[in-house]
Amino acid sequence: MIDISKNARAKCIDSCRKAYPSEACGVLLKKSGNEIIDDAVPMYNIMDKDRAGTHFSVDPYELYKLEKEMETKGYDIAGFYHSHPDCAAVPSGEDLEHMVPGLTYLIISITKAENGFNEEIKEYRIDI
Amino acid sequence: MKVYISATLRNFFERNPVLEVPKSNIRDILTYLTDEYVESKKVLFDADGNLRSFVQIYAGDENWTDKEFWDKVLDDNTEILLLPAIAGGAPVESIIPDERRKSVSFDDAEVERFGRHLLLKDIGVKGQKRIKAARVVVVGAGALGSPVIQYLAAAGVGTIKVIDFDDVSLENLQSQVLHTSRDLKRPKVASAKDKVRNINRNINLEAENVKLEADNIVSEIDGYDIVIDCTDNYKARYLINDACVLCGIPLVFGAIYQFEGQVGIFNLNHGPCYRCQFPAPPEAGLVPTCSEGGAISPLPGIIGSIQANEALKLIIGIGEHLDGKLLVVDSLNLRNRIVKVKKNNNCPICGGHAVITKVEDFDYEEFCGLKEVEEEIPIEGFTPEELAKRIENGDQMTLVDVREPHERAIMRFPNAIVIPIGQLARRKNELNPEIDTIFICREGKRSILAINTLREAGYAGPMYNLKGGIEAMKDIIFSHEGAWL
Repeated sequence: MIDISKNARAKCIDSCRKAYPSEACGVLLKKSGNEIIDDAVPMYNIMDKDRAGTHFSVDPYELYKLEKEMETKGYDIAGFYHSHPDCAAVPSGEDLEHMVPGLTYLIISITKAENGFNEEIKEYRIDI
Repeated sequence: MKVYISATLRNFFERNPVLEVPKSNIRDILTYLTDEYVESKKVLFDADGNLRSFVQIYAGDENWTDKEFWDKVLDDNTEILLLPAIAGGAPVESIIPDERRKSVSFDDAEVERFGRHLLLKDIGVKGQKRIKAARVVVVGAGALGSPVIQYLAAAGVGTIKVIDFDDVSLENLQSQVLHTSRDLKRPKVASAKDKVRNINRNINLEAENVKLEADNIVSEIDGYDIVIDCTDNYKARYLINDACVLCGIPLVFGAIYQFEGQVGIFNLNHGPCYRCQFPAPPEAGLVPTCSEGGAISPLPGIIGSIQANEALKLIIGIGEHLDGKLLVVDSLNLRNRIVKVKKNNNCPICGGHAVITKVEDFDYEEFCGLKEVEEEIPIEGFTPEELAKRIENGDQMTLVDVREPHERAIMRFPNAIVIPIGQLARRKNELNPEIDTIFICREGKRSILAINTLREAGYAGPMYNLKGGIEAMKDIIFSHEGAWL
């Protein structure tokens, strides 16, 4: 599994908790040349509210702007993360269809627990 | 033309952020890029040459990913963006809540009966309990309903409600394997009930011998887990879809026509509905139903079996399914494809500003063109009895059969001249406007279309429709004519 900084991990989990019971999503960043995920930026899930519990989608323009901004700051896009509220951290067919080969994808299963939330993070990647 | 490559896709384009491409439409640009950067071809396109789901193409701020835009000429200053589609969905969850699963149990006979399911890791005891706890409505106990009802019963679905208003007729036996010769003239739901009882007596089969209308559909389906549409007409499809959206019930849709069939899942977790894909039915009379257009015998077996399989997958909570997709099966050439169904935000029943809030408020008859339209010049017609009398009296008239050649091969109409509907306007001079002309088709609907076509073409002679068509008349005049094949 790719290394992920404490900061990046905390940001991912925080955004999943805030979005619960909807799916959270965002981009994973690494400093150019690094092999560790240094940072994570949440993105807006544009799905309708009644659909967002089981689906996510990102405005491609938001990504376009974000990747230009991150380039100037010396970051590369390492991949993306999204959450599965109350559901296992395994990719659905739709998840797999939308994976860009070579990038890192984190799926975070998040379920309500007595004091807060339980999370499980799994990493996926496809090759062509 | 400048093409911006997203940072996420740059690895396949030698890390170039912007490429200058001397082409002026999307198709040529893609060909140029995949020729120049060979590695990108298998990343952007799948084995069938279709763009992969994660690729999006923007021209300026418009999404031009769809192939329909690929040949449009682009303005030189347009910036083309190659971006990834960042999207996904949760894996399938069972639509049966855990409390209901936990409230059922199995006896020894059931463990033996469902052994083949229990052996499957993806079904097991949990899955089989969900199947037993499930409550499914099947609308239509005909061609599609036959495999659906039998497989759901065999699989152990605890409660199956079958709704159908029709009786079994001889022509049903060509494809409706639920019924046998002994069931002729019985209600279809009665033979469905017998069949299911013979499969498994423990299944609670609710037989409803009623026709679904706007005033009864909600009470018939409310509280059930899934509705499976096995009907054969547009009015029923829209009515069922709308009621499912309003009751929040997922719908497994199926349809067959001649050699082709379709299956899809609508309204799952507020996903796209039937109206999102088919906003309006085709003009009345344009697309015949199966009872008019025919279908090859095993086709409903194929399509209905897929419907039953999809329903079971939703109940168990496994696999990939046809949510937001439509599977199109061509049984003649053995080619299948899956069409994506997008949610329509302006959908009148499931969109953001839905205007249909009760099925009672929507006129399905009018929407599907089934109302007797009050036309400026109403179309006059004869009943089969009236026409038979005129023929017997030797009245002077022209009989025109507008059916297609293969339909006439089944049954001729004696002494009728033959003009297929597409040729009517240009062959109108073959008709004598001084005497009555009677138009004949199979069910008396296309013949109305024929009369309207001729009126529009300026034909002024008296025209009449044979009400109910040759189907309604065959018992009167053909029994002794030997006109059958």
